[in-house]
Amino acid sequence: MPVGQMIQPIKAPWIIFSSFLKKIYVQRGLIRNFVIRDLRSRYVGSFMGFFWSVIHPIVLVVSYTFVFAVVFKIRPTPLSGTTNFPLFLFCGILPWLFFSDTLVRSSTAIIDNSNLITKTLFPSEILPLSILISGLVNHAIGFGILLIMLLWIEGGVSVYILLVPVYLFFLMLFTLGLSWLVSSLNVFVRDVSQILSVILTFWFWFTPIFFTPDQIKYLKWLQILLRMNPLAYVVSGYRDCILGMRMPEINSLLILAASSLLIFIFGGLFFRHIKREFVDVL
Amino acid sequence: MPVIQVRNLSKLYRIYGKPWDKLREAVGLGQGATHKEFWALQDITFEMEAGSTLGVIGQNGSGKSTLLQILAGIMRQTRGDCFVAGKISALLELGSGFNPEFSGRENVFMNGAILGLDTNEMKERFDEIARFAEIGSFMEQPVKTYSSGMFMRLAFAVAVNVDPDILLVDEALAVGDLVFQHRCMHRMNQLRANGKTIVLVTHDLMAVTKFCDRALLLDSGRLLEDGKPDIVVQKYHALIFERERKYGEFGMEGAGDGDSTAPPVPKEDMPLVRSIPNIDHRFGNGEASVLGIELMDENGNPVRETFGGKRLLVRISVEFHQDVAQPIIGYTLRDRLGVDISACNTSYAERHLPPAGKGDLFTSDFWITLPHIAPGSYSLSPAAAKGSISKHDMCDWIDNALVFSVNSASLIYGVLKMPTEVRNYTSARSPEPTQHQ
Repeated sequence: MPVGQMIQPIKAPWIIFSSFLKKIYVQRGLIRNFVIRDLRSRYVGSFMGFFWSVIHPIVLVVSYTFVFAVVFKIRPTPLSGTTNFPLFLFCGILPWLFFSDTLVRSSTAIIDNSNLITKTLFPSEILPLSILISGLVNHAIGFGILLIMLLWIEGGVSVYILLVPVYLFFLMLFTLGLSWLVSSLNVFVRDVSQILSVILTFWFWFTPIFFTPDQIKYLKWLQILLRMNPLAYVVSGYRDCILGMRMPEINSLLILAASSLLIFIFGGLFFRHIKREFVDVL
Repeated sequence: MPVIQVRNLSKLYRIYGKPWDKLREAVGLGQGATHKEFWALQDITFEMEAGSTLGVIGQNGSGKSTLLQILAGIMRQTRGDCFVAGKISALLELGSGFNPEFSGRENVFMNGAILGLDTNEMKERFDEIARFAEIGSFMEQPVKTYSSGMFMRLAFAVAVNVDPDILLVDEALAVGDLVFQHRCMHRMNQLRANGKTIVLVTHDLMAVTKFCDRALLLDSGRLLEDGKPDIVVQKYHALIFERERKYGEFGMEGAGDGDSTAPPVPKEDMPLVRSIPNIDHRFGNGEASVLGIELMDENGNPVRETFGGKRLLVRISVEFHQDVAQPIIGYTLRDRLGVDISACNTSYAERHLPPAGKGDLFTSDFWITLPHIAPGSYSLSPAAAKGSISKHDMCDWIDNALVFSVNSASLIYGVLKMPTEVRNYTSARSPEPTQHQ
């Protein structure tokens, strides 16, 4: 009489994922090396060094301000917390730039380091992570400029700004999850990085960077679209916290948390599953 | 206690027409996708004891590098098992992960991190690495300013100073200059003396016979031979000759020119030897066969034990079974490790043989003065071939047909005692002439 069935232990995705995270944690020394290398390779040998990371967002803000505020005379609604277009724009574009830069740079990270993957025993999952962390440094610099602008234009900082790290945290999870997905897919199909730049262009304009969700209440379909867009929550959240207009809605924060965690875990599991095929393809 | 155990290891590459198909299959949705299959490795089984050295040889595309990638854990096998116990350092490519924009020092630490060492462990090793690499003040310069020699020395220095239990090396040593190769070989010998396990993939057959305890011969993903390096190398030579033969027509390059130096002799008066004392391995196209080989002294007596400086005769007799326009007869002298010491043939010595007809007998006498070589056992491998030195087809080759030993009255360092004349000069005051009366 069979006492019990022999059941092959099927590991829960959560267990697989936490062991995946543990392995990444073990590699923190290597990650630090890669972050430093990434930061330095961007600025080493260039005359103005870190200055460039500041220039890029400023040039964007100035150009968009010229087109929207000067040519088309658009003013942000007072409901958004400021009437200053550059400040309004900067709040929204800052998290977006962090997101899109990380994603674009991650998409080719595995291919660019193919000799490491085919010739050494290398934990490839740390490549997108290193790019994310080095992007965080840029993000912090941009945030510093934003604070200076804020003090100068508005003359004060809201207490809600302390909530920005919460949004940043979920933005990082979301970005890293997608980066794992995109970087691993790009190993197999090189068009992925091209497709990505097309998608990102759409994504940019369909994210409330130049407008607030309140302004487009009459466009039902766009509202639905924004509700499905985690970046919309991040951008609105950043703006609301920095400009101190209102306490972020707990509902939207929960949706952001759930969706970014989901993407983070899915991206990680996908990467873990598919990375063993990298050597065969690279 | 084996540190590497490989059982029925196979690796299948699937080559897909469309990249999406590979992705679909990797995700687990790829049923029925059309692909070509290519077995890079098939049913490889071997074990390695701790502290042994293994050479892996074979032609390009035979699966050597794939095997190393699987041993290193970089690639996953399709079937079979592969257990590796201990810390591995895989030197599959010199300087993987070196960034040309960064200084040598930074790259050393980076490379160490990739190989699994933290900053403190690397600090301990840094001086040793710098000493081995011998690039001096360039250590602080960007790697892009290095010569290729400096680059390789630095990369090799890092890899061997990681202090692995198992070192996997793929062709990495073949790229450097001679000084570099010597230094690497020296370092590898040190590692071996320290009881490290080493797997060496190489085309340098000399290195395999000299350095390894054992060798594997791979061909088209299969393990053809596993055994003593000299035996495996011979097998590899045979394989290559076989391939060359099948490759196609052999030109009549050099036919007719050069003086044929074989006076016709009536068959009954031919000096012939008809015994082959030993056959380790024999191959060839069968158009001729070696009838016999003998080593003799000046009086025609067989010699099995001799001294350096002796004048000796190597006599080889060959029978041709087909017409051969440009026959060559020769031999190779090897030491007991299978290292080629010297070789000679009728073409090399520019004593070309006349065209041979079916049924003709040829005998070539090679008169040699044996140099003062290290005492030990040596072997002669006779061969008959057709063509020219650069392009020939092996008719018959016998490995180690005749073994003899060389003794020496005096001590001989290294391989041989070179004929040397010594002259001394001194600036010291000449001592008081002693009375020799």
